[in-house]
Amino acid sequence: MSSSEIHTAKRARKKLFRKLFLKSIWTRLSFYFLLFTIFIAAFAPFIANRQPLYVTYKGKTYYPAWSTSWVGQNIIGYSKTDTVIYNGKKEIIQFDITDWRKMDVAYILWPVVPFSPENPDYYNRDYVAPTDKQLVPSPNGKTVEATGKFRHLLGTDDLGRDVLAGIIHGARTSLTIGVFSMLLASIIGLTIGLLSGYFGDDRFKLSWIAVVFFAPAVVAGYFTGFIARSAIIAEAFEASTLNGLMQFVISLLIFIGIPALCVVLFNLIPVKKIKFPIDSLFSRATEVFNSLPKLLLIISLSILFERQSIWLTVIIIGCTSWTEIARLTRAELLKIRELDYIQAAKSLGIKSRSIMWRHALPNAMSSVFVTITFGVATAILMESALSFLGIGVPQDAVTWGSMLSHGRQEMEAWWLLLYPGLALFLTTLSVNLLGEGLRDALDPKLKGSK
Amino acid sequence: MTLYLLKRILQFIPTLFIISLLAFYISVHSPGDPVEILSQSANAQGANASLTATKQYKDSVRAQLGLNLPLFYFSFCTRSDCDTLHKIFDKQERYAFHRLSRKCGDWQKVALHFKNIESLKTMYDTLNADVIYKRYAYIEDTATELIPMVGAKTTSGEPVKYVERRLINNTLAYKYTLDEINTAISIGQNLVSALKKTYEPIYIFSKIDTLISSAKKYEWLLVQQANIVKLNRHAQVFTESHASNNYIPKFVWNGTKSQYHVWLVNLLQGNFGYSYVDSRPVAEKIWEKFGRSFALVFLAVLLSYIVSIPIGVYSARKHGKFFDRFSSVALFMLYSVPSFFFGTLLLYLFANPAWFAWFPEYGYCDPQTYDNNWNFFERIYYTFPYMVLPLATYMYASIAFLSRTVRSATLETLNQDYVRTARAKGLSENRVLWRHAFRNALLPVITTFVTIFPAAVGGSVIVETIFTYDGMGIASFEAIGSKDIPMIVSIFSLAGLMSMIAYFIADILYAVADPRIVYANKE
Repeated sequence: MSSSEIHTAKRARKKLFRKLFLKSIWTRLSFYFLLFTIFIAAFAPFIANRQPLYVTYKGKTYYPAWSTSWVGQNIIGYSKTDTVIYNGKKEIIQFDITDWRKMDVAYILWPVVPFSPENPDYYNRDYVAPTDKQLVPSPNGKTVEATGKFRHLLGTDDLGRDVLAGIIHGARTSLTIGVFSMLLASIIGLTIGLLSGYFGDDRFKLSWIAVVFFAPAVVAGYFTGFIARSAIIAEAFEASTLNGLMQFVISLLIFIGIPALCVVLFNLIPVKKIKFPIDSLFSRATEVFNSLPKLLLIISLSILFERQSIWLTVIIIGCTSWTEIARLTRAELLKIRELDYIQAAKSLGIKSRSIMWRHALPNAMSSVFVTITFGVATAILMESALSFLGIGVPQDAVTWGSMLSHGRQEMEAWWLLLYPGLALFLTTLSVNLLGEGLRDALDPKLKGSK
Repeated sequence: MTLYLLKRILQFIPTLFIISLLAFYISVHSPGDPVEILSQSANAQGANASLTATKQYKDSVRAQLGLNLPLFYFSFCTRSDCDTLHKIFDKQERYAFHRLSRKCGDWQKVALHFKNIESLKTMYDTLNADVIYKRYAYIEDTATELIPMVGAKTTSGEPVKYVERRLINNTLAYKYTLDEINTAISIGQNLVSALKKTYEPIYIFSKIDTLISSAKKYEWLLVQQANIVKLNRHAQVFTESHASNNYIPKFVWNGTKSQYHVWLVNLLQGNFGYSYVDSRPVAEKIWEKFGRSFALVFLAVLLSYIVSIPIGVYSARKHGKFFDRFSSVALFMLYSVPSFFFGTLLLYLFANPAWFAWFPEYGYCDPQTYDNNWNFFERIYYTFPYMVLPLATYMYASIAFLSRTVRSATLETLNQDYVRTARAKGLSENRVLWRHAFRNALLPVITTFVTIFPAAVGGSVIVETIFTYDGMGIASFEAIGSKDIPMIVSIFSLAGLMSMIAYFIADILYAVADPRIVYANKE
């Protein structure tokens, strides 16, 4: 087959996939809804922000939303404060606390929702309903009834935080955790499933020296990675979560690297090779892991870290939801490895690593991918459940789950219950529908089942 | 078959051991000190006493709980670590010690540093504000007596020297009130105890500097000077590090004198330990709540089976027809509703005077009418209203999931040859459906059914939190929050045991449902 032919075949396959994938109206709708949600999540600080996007005040021009929300402190030539001298009077503007609604501005461009999720609106505290009378400060110093843009369209909570802004920013947390935790889970699950499924108990052969030294190498890896470096990791976590995670990953690499290196090196020694039961090893480990109560495990792991952050939650959820992916990958590969084309590749003398990655795995991916998609929905639900219980993401962060738990405490505030719940429902529903559509498109035989 | 099942039971043991180890590891490393939590609750009950009494109390509690023992049968650490670190009770101090020994690569030097701090602390503790104050009062009195005499002639005719006069004035200037002395002592004490928890050399030196300057300011602190200098000299080692020691392993055998061993031996004797929070036996606590949770989960799963099996089988039979399409969409949507949203919504609608106050808002029974001597039926009668909403929340998700499972499994079997044969034989459609098709679709149904056992232990945290239904879910959530180690480890082990029993029962049921499954050849 020439390269152009391959390209044509690829294009045809893509076309077919798209046709099948977008055939159902539900899949199409959920696909567009998810695109919309991703857009909102990506640009949340410019869609819902109490800082205007653009403002002209006493002859000067500012872009407060950019300088406070997105970049934090400084973008080129921009500082947190600015001094205005007007008619001989000096006025200092501090961008993070200025209430621009009170300012007498020449021109102002507000975001679609002029509220930030964490900032309380002092004028509309104590659960203001969407239909209630709402107040807004005006430049002349009076407080007037809010109309149009400054109404809290979906109400406020006890502190006066806007529900709509919370939903918009909550999409960010939910999607980040859903996507990235499943990414991590797929990395773990695919690796374990691939190794145990492709090699099984009989195909992974090691020199007996490597087998003998495997356990000591694991101990050595654990010692160098985690015991010797415990202080380094702790210090990095004190500096910042990101730093700590980086050091943790380095430790993890050492922990995996030492046994791997040991196996590779000892395998070079020309002695008798024996079967290494890699499948049984992983299966037993997975069984133990599955016997743990998952939600309780996640809760205890979240409490283990004193500092709460989104990325820690991503790691915790990712590290606890790989079992389904591993199970499926293993089952698929056990089937695939017996197929003729793998045997053919083997007889051609292609290395097993290459067969594994280039021939076996891509064929298992279609059904695994569907599981991963459903896993995203589960991870989003898990994150909201954790926020609902008050753990996981930082206490002051506004997420769909934390808003729902507010709604649970104050039964009168139905808007705190309904709208975040709907957002959560629609997102999980569309992720699930997308998974369903994906399955139908990838494997038309299964259509309608499950 | 029997041999296989026996083998399965034997496999329980190592798995349970690993699970209990994991739970133990997690709960020991979570932040917070159980003794602090205990003494806080004791303080709240009015058992507040002086500092030393509190410390003694804490130490006794620690010994009682066995927390003064090393964690595990062996410790595996680096050469710079101290192997008797568990003897330092305060968690922060222990942490500081650990970090410092990693920094300088030699725990003995850190031990010396801590000893210095300890002796300084004892000296500060022995400083008595009253005694110091009396001494100043005496000096003041003598000075006031002396001052009129300054400049006057003594009996020998010589004037009191100028130097003496300055001394007296200075002495007068050094007059402190009792409050000032007390504050100075407590500042010193605070600095010293803060020093015990500091592990950054820069902060250590800055604290020592503050100590030195305060000792210079108050001359009655001068006795401390030598100690502080010694402290400073010994602390200098932290600037030079022997980090290479951090990479040399050290293995210490603790034997049976370890927390884990004590726990395990107690467990084998049927003693799950005592809760740190209220000192009640863990077994009793778990048993009481397990019953409630199990009743909830069992009823919920039973009811959802009664509802979802007919739905699933019927929609498989009407594949592609209106009922199938409608129920599929409805169940799919139901499946995507988060349970805590659904539960809270139910609560809002049916336990809210603004809408329908049909069911109680929280709890598992009415504490006013509660009677311990109720028989089984009375118990059900009185607690049932409290269970309706949690049941509904628990059920809706299982119904959605189960119906989909049953439908797809039945659909698969309906296309098989034997079903066609059964139809060709002229069997009634019902008989074909239930005896031939559904029976072969039972396996996934069994798999789901057995999950109720582990779910009864820790699976219903969210449902129980929403409705404040006081069962295992809330108990385990609280145990994790308050670092109640015996509770946590027991719950995790119990959940592990339950899931293994569930797998075991599933294996037996598979063989019952499908006689083709024979375990003898397996493995």
